[in-house]
Amino acid sequence: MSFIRGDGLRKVYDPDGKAVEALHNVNFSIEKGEFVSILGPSGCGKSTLLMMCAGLEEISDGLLMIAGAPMTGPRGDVGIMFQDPTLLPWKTVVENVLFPARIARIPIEPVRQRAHALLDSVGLQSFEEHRPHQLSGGMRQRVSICRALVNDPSILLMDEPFSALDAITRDQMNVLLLDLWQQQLARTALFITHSIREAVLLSDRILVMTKRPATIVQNVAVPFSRPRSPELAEGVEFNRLCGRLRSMIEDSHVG
Amino acid sequence: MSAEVSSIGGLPASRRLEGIMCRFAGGATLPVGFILISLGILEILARTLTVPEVLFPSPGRVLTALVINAPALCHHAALTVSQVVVALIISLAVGVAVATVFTLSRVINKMFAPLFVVLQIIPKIALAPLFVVWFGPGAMSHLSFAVCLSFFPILAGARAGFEETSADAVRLCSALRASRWQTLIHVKLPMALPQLFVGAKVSTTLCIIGVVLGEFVSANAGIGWYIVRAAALSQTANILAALVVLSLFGLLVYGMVAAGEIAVRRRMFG
Repeated sequence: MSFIRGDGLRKVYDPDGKAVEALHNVNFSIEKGEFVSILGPSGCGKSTLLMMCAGLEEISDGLLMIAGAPMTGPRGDVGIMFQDPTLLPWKTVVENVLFPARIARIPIEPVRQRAHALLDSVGLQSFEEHRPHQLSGGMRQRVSICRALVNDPSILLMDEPFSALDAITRDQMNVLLLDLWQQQLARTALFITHSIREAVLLSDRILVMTKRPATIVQNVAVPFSRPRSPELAEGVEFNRLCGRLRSMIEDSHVG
Repeated sequence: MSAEVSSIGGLPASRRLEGIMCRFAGGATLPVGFILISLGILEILARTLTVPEVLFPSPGRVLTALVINAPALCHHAALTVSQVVVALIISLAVGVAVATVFTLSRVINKMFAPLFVVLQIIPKIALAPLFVVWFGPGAMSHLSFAVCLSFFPILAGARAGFEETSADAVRLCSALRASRWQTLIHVKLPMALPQLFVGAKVSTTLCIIGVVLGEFVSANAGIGWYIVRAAALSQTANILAALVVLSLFGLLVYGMVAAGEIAVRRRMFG
C-alpha cells in the first residue's frame, strides 16, 4: 500500500464562469521513505498538486490518500517549504525554527535541542540570534529547511524551494539537502522543481508533468544508489538521464 | 560573510542613537532657521507698522505672555494632553479590536465595513455638542468625542495591515494547522504594526483636535477652555501663547508615536 496515493485527481478553478482545469486526471503513488520530484514547466499545475498534498488546496475530483486515510485538511506530520523562505522578520533565526512548535503548543525545551542540532547541521549555529534581514537568501532558505524539519515530520513537501536563489547558491543548497536527506532516513519527500539536474541529483523517482493537459505523463526511476555525492552530477549516466528527461519534456510540449 | 553580518547586528545602540540625532539636527537646521527669520520679520513689522496688539501681537509680546503665564498654561496644557494620550490609547484599543473582529469574521466584515466608511462622510466635528448632551461637560465628553473622531485611521491602518500580511505566511500558518486566533496573534498583528503606526500618527492629531474642540464647547479647564476665555477677554497674546504650548505638547505626543514606529520598523526590517 502506497504512503501517498492520488487517483484521478482533478482541480478546476472557476474564475468568472470560465472553468480552468489546473489538474487533469493525475494518478501517482509514493512509497514511504521515497524522495519523489515532480518536474515540469511553469504553470503545469505542479504546485497545485503539492498544495493538495499539504491540505491547502481543495480537490475538485478524485481521491488523495495519505497514510491510508483520505485527505481532508492540513496534517500534523507534514513539514513544508515554499519558494519564499517565509520567515517572520521580527523573530530571531532560532525562534523562526521553533515557530511550528509554538503553533502546535508543545513543550518548547525538547524542541529547542532539535532546533539547535538542525541549525548546526546546516551551518547556521552562529546565526541563531540573528534576524532574517541580516541573512543572505541561501541562509534564509536554510532556516526554512530547519523549520520544516523541526517537528520531525514524516512527510516533507517542498515547492520549488531553491528557484529564487542564484545558480551557485542553488547548487550548494542541493548538496545540503542531499546530505540532510541521507542523514534523516524514513522520511517521505515530495519536491517540486523545474530544474532537471536538481531533480535527478536528489530524487529516487521523477514524475514528469505537462502543461496541456496538466497531468503526469512519465514516471522515471533514478537508478543511482545512495549515499550520493555531488560528483555524481559530472558522470555520463547522470547526464544521459538528464538528456532523456529533457527530450521527454520537449516531446510532450510539441504534442 | 560572517564579519559583514556581525557588523550590521553589532552596531552599539549609543552610536546608532548619535547617528539619528545628527541626522535630525541636520534636517532641522533649515526649517528652524526659516521660523526664526520669519519671527524676526514679524517683530519688525509689528513695531514699525504699530498694529493694534488685539489684532496682531508681536512675537516678543507673545513670548512675554508665555513666560508670565507659563505655570497656568502648562497646567491647562498638561490636562489637555493627558486627555489626548488617554483618547489615543482608547482609539488604539477600539480600532484594533474592531479591525480584529472584521478579520476574524467575514460576515461581520461584509455587514459593517461599508457602514464604517459611510460613517466617515458625516462631518463628525458637528457632533461635538451632542457628546456634551450625552456625557455632560468635562473629561468624559472630551474623551468620547476625541475617540469618535480619531479611531477610524487606526481601524483603517490595522485592516490594511491585516490584509497586507503575506499570503505565504498565512499559508504557512494553515499548513501548521494554526487557529485563526493564532494566525492573528503570531503573524497578522505583528505584520500590521507598521501600517498601524501610520494610522496612529493621523489619529494623534485628530485626538488633539477632538479634545480641544470638546473644551471649546464645554469645559472649566484645559487649553481649549483657556483659549476661549482669552478670546473673550481679547487677550490675543495669550491665545497665541496657548497655541505655542499646545503645539509643543502635541509635538511631544506625536514624537513618541513616531519613535515607536521607528523602533518597530527597525526591529522588523533592520
